[in-house]
Amino acid sequence: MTGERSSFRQVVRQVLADSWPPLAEYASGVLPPNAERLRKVSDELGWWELEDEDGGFAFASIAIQELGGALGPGELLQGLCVNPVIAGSADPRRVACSWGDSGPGGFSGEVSWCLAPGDDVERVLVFAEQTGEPVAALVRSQGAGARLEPMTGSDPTRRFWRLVMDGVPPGEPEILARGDEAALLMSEVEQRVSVGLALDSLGIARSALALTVAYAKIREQFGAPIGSFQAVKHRCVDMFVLVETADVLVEAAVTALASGAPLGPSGVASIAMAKAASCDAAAEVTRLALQTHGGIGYTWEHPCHLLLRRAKLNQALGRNPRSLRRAVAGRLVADALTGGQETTPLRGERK
Amino acid sequence: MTAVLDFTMGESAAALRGRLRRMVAEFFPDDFLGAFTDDPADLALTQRFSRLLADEGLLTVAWPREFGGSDGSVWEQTVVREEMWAYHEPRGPQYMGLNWVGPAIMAYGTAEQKAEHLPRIATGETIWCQGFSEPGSGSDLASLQTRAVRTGDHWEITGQKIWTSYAGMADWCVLAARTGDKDSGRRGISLFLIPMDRPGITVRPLRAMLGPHHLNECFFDSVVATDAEVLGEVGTGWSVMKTALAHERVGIARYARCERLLWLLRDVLRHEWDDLDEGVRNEWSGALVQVRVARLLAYRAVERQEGNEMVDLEASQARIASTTCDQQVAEVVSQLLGPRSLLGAAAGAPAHGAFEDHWRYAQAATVASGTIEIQREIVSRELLGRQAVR
Repeated sequence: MTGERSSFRQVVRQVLADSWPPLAEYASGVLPPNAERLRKVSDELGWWELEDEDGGFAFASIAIQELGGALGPGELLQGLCVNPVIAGSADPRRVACSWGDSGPGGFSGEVSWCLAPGDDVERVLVFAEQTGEPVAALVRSQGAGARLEPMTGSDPTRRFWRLVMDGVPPGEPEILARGDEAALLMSEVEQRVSVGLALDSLGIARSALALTVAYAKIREQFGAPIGSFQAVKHRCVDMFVLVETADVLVEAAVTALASGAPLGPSGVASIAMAKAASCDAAAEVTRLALQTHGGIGYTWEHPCHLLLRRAKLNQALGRNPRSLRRAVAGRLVADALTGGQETTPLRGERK
Repeated sequence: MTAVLDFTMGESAAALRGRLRRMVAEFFPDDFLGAFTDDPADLALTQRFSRLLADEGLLTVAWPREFGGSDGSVWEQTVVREEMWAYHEPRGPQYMGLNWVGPAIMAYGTAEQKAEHLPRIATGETIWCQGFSEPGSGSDLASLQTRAVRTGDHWEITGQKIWTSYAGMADWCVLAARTGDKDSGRRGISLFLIPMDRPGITVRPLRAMLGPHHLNECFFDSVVATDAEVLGEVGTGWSVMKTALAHERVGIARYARCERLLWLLRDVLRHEWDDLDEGVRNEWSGALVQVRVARLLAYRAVERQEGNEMVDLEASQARIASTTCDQQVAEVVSQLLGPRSLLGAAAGAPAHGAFEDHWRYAQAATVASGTIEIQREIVSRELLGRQAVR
């Protein structure tokens, strides 16, 4: 499958070259760039149904990572990564969900940081408590007592939404699952969000590293390329190590998810490790990329600050690195005590 | 007044702080985040506020009376700096003139230059910009290639400057140009005091992460300058620039905004604060300690600058501490607030977007006015002696 995956990566890159602005020209247009063409092409090529095949996520993951590196549209991140696990009567391509860490709420208040597979959102996936048990439901985004508002923040490369619920009638939300099933769907979405952020961030970090290495070779100060000074040279190596560290952990998480089997505790732990490591790595690598570029890195037309903004938001979205690492620590200690046998499930994993 | 290990600087300083805070609160709306926004009213407000400060004798509080100052102490000046930076620099683009152009003209200017420029800086009438960096000369500033050619009885200046803060609104520029030959390095640089409306000057705004109205590129095409406009002696520009940059490096009291933001963060979190785990709260305290370290290091540099001692080491050390504490505070904020810390003002961000604004500015802190690598290089020369740069 390795060969097939690397050919698929080439296809994805070709599609991006044809249908998406290159990083060097990215910020000269309106942000985020219009994703219509890329959505259409990716649909025609069957990317939105990749997971109908065995091991499909192994391929989808390549597209998600490459899209991250190209500062691709939030629509595809949502559509390729999370929507495959959302069922229901609504067209899953019109369902948005939160990438924040809001946990279960109710059918009033706000669900922030929603990504949508397109502009034509019909429903938002909401996890709530109802009569003492968890439910997963679809709330109409412009139905009675609900509205969808755009959210603006530091990252202009993706469009986020906030569902504001103010008196949704009790019978209105379409209940997808209750009880254990709802909890299961919630953890499944949480895993998908973690892996999606990890893949997106890995792509970002790789792009930032590539830009930095190229710049360190050509930018001259004191009569020599800045990459020849240890302060810069060693930093490039630190960035490379961060990227590779994230890469192996992300690959392990993708393997766990792509097997299609229910995730055991070690699978859940590998996703937690991947999210924490990759999002932290990308935030740091992009920060160092900007530092190495100097002033040019924060001029608007340069992609450096956009990579940094997106990486920083990815780090803050989903479960935070601290709580992920605490869960991982719990898992590793449990493994050590039981000689590596998988035992009790961790919070939010399949039983 | 001695500043050593004294965070408050006594009662008179506290009174001055209170007075400045009241003035800012009366003059500015709660959501003011600085002068360089898309709304020109913000800039206009800072101009009016600067004049009010001048009327109250607070704009150039530590300058001698003969130059329009109040004969105040450098510690009063420090309090003003801290309060101004803490509240998003309500003096707007005045900072360059107040902080170093004025003092440099006092130290190196002719009687005519002093008479022409100092009173107008002291009243907040003029905006100055600093034409130092060039596209090919950033960290290696001494390699700058803007040329000043002797033509008859005057100079003709041609070249390009970049990252020039406030150039689009400035009345005057301190321009560094090469009067020596191409390879004359730091010995061949001179400084000129040039009005920005002189023929041959073109300013182009640079849209950047810091916002749309801050940075600029400036093009100089055979711009005429007279001998009377040279600051200091021809060929001595580098040493004036070094002094200027040392002032610039301690002139922004970044730690003051950091301290304010850390307390603001606690207000925003309110009840959530009590539920935070100890590790996270320790990060907050650690950042607060670092902020106060940066403050004390800045005081030490100011004290030595006052004594006219060589301050490269202290200034760079203070700069490293204040810029890295900017970034440390941004990190703590993002850990404690999560994605809310990255919400823009328009999206109902906490503290009107001050945290998001701080995060963006903090990224540039270790690049602007001498990268952190150059600050480390300056410190290393004192520690290890001057060696070939590598």
